[in-house]
Amino acid sequence: MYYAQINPENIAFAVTQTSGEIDQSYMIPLASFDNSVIGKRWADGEWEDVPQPPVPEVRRIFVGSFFDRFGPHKWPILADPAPMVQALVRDCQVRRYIDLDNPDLPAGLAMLVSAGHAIDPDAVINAPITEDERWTG
Amino acid sequence: MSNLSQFFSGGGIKSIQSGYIAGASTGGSTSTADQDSRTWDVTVSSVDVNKVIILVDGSSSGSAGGAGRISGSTDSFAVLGRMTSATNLRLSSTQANGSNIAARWQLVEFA
Repeated sequence: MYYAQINPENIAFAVTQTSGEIDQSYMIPLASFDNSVIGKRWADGEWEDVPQPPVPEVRRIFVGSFFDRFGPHKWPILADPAPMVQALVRDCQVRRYIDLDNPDLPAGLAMLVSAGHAIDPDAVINAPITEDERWTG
Repeated sequence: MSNLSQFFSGGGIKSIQSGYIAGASTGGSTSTADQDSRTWDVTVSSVDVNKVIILVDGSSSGSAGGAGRISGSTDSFAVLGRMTSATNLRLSSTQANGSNIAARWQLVEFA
């Protein structure tokens, strides 16, 4: 016997071949081991498609691309001998990528602003990621 | 709990059940230090829980698109399997981040 198991929202999340009959309202009999019903909703005796939520974008960019986002302020920042600025630069340089959704990033950029570098933190974090910038490791 | 010698000295295989599961977790504690941080309960035909082995091949991850991936930009985590009753196979992830699963399983019951 083949069954699709549905969750409380009537959406199938499992397909099972059992060794015996199962009489449960959330076990929908199938004619075969049909994986295609996974993610579909059981409604009025039929399977219907359910709109899928968009997959959240992973916003990771190359370290060099991150520094490029500082625009004309990049070189002054890299050359700034202030200990906190150098600490941030080094912290970035040892990473494989920069995660633009890292919750610590806004504070790091605010520190650069307070050190006298007129960058736009919002633009650095939220500008769309180009294919050249996107970390592909 | 039976041991393997009991399985193989008995009457052989009594039943085999199998399945595929994919999607968001249906339960769990969401604690990172819990074997049931994320759980998926699958209903099966009744078995003797002392005479079964469970084979699971799959993983969990933080996104539906990433579930089942061994590598890539989305981390993936091991999936555990055990019987919590004669008719319930529980698949679980120890990671709260492993909220989506993609796995195949087999449940083999010995006589």
